[in-house]
Amino acid sequence: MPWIIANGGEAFLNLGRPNNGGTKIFSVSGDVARPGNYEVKLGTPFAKLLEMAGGMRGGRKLKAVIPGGSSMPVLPADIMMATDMDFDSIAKAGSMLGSGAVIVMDETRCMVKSLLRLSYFYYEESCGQCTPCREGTGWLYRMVHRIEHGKGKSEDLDLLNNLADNIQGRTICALGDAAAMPVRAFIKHYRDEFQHHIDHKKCLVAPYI
Amino acid sequence: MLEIEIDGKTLEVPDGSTVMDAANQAGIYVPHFCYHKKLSIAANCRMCLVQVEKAPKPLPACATPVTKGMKVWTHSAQAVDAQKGVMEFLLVNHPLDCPICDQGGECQLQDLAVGYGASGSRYEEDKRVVGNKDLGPLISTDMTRCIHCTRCVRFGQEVAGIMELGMIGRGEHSEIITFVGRTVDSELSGNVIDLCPVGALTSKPFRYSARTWNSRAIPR
Repeated sequence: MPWIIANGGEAFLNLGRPNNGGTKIFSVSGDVARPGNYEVKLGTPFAKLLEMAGGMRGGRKLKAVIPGGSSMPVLPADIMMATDMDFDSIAKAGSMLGSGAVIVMDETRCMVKSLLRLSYFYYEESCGQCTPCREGTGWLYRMVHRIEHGKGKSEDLDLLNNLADNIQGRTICALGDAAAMPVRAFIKHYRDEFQHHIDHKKCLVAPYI
Repeated sequence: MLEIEIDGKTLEVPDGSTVMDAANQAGIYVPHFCYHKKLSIAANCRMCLVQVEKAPKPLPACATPVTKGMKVWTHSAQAVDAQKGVMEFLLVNHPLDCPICDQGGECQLQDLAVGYGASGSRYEEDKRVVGNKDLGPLISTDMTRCIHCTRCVRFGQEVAGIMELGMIGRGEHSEIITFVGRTVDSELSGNVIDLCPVGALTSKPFRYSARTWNSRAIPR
């Protein structure tokens, strides 16, 4: 803030890119060596941000990144490594920058379990005022819970997608959207892992030790 | 006066009207549960979602004010899709015990489920169960049937003027209780029996005595 007052808003705006001016504080968490808050210019490549956060913890491979907090769609590593951290680039890649809470996941993370954790959060956080979110978040959570624990059925994935459609955009506040978006993105990018859970009743990835 | 087009009908409505008011004026029925013309607007049941021109997502008719030249479709594909989606969510935690429910035959949920509900449920998980409350000598409760429209709560606050009922808990765990642990003593409390769109609050004296379709109006 003092920097902006000293140098003027124009100078701050010129730090980033056109239409994505200024800097943003990214809160990098998850499987990185040095999690923390990093203030960078908008438009900084994600690879650079990851490097600032010390790279992947234990030298593991990057698997997925949720670029804007847990309510935003997840993006696989290859898309993320080719993307810059600004609003337009992330939107083009199919997600949103949101709060700037970057959640980094490495190759040992089971995507079904990750989604289960997110769904549980939104199930517990729903206030219960309006119908789609009150009933829908519990339904989503219970279905993902069933898939994770080896009781999934092959039609469940399409049903999950359909439920997410029915919740998104029909609630009073954005918590309904926030609960629906990760479900759709996880299934879109990691359908094979969900299918593996349903078919073989176990994880596709080796368990985290 | 504002001009609005609903389902192709053009009409003029007073300033400050909602889409629901306009639809009622035009004689178009928009499905709803929490909306009641004598109570404040809650917009929490989401059953009255309608398609509005230039709006990216369906909007609740009861809480959307009419603007000049607005175009609304209450039964378009987008609106009906939203309404059916909401109906499915309302029914997942509803016990569907209509055969033993006193509200059967005069139940808004039952009536609308005929039009908007599916013939079978896609919900295979466990249903919610809510303990019944003692609301005094008039009101019999089956709180598992409650759809959280909060009509009874708003009636107590706004019409009766006594805060006797309230909602506690969050998310799926929310439920209607008396405030706090007392019975409902207001002389107007019997009205919530008729206000309740489902069989959560029914009449204790009349319980299990007759079906509405078997009763006959006696001319006074």
